[in-house]
Amino acid sequence: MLFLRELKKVVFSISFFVLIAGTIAMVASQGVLDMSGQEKLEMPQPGQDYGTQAKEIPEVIMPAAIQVLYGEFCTNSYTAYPIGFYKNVRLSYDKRQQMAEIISALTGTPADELMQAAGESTQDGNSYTFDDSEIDVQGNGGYTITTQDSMSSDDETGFSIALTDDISYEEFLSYMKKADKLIGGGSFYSDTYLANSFGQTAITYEEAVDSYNLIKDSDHFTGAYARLFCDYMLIVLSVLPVFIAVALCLKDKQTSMNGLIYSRTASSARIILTRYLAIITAVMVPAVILFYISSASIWGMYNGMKLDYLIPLKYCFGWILPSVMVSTAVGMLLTELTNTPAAIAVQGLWWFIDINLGVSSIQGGYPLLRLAPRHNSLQGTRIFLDNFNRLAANRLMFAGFAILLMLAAVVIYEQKRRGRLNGYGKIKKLFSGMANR
Amino acid sequence: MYENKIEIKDLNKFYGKKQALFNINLTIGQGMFGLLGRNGAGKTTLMKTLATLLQKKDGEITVCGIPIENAKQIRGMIGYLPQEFSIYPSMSVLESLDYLGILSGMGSRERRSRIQLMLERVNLTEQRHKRVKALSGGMKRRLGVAQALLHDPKVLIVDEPTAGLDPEERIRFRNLLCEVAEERIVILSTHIVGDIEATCEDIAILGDGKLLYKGTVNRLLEAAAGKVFTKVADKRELPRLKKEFSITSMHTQGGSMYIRFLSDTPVSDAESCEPNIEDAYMLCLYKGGASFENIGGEF
Repeated sequence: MLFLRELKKVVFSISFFVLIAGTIAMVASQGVLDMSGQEKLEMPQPGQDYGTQAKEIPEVIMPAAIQVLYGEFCTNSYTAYPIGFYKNVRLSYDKRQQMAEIISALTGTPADELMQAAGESTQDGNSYTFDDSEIDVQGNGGYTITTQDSMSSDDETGFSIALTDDISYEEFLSYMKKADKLIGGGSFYSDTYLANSFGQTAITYEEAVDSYNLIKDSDHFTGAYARLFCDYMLIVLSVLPVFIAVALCLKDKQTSMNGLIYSRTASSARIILTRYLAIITAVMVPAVILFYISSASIWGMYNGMKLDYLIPLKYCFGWILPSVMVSTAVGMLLTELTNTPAAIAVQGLWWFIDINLGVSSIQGGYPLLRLAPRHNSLQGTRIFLDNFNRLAANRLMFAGFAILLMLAAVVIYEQKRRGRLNGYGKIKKLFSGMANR
Repeated sequence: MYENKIEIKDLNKFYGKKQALFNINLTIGQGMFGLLGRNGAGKTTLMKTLATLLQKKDGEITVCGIPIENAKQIRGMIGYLPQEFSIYPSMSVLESLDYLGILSGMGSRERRSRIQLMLERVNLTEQRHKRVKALSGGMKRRLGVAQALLHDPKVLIVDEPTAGLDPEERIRFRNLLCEVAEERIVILSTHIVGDIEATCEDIAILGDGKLLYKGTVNRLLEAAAGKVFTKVADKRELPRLKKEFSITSMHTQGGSMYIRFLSDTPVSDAESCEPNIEDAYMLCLYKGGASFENIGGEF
């Protein structure tokens, strides 16, 4: 009964309507509420263009990467995406020397000569530029930089360099790591961007057929669409639940209900965990409904094929739920701790950084610490299957983290009920000060 | 079987470094008990401590034989109507009582029957489907009593319940408290002397966190006998009189002022009169260390 009462409080709150409106707006505007507008996944035919994919082929990556690194070194202008946003990095003289040594080790050209060349080119006012035909923004956070023909021509760019023959791929990677560290992370030479930037290769017919067969046999088509749906849902559902949690917890304070509730016999664990469950239920039920609406829209596209009709449930609880749990838990814990809406700022910042960092693995990859794992493609079943264990570990870890946060929230609530943490502490003053600014 | 009483021994309470209660010793038995004191005297702190909402620094408190540290047991025995009473405004009267009944661990059948009984008792049956925000101030306070009595507690703690009520509602509210006090301990905390006078036999007076008086109303009145005077004075005399005595009431009739004041010694051209509880309370505050001007400012 307490659960139903709390659920009613949540469902009739303004923040809940905001969440529902935001979620529907997101999935509708991105064309995943009605998936019939998405491409139909069909058996590839020979002679078609199957697109490109990032592959870790040393022979492709190494020459392209060193060429671009040398170009950036000469102009002392490095492109980086440290938290997902573009940043132009200029190195100090000392760091330029260190970069020269890295390039020297990779190419055999003495560092002094490299520094001299860089100095001359800077004095000459030369700059290393790519036009539209040379940089291909993949839309998945990856960049293909074409270095053939015009790029390798001394006449056109003024910069050209070649790797020494005796450098292994492992050595090359370790130098790339050093170069990325000098730049400050998030550069083309980082683990995240290296293959995406320099390893784009055309998908062959055989690969396209394999990919289709995986989608048909492993995903039963519905799985591919489900991942795309999850991708958009998580953009909103990894942050909006915090608003509901904060509003629900602050409501007791705003309506002076604390004294009445605190003096009741219900345990703190029962009160807090029931509220938590009510928020999770209120968020997840519409998510499942929207998921089924979305999924049902493609059932007609694959008549006669084997489809997985439980896929919305599997993905809702396996993929979306942990992020909702964390967002809600952060909201409840910090609101109980501070009696302020500080949780919105904390979760909002976390979400903002996570979503921007997520651009680097937008087509899968699923880093272990990603709040909202991305998969913004109908393709990539192989990536999903190859990285499934990491994704599962990520989701389990976040669910576990949320449970820990909630246990902490129960302890804090109990301390408040007993008057041991009653807003007289430094934490309250600190957060109140922040909220009042 | 423990007696129905609350025992407080050597209770001290601090907010950080500031001491809010000083060595309070008090025994509260069944029936109405009044806790008087000025704003900031420590009444709410004491009430909240009894309701397990604040942690004491030291001392002992037992409620019907149960140490206050057993919070869950104590919460089951206590009904609490806080000073700033409020319920979710969008809930109906029925829903709000049901919600608080659930939090008190009551089963659905018990809740249904107790809610009906409480609504009848506080005369809110007709308003049961009204939203809380649509209730008048008096109705809200009665709802407050209903929620506090919902789980049939042995102790009812009401903190400043009549502030802001019109005279009719105030009287109605006092009578309600007296009725429920027949079968339990009711602690009424207030700075409105009239509430105590009308309802309580046993009282305690707090001043700056210290217990200034504990005992019956009659004994308090006896202590003030011979120390209350009336005088018809000229308006120009008023500033001098205010400095010399604690004036408990005054009213103007024509060009004269009828003044009632406290004095330890007889005053020439003033008549001694029977003290009322207001006089006795002010005398107690004065003896507790408050200045004439300060306590005079309360009324």
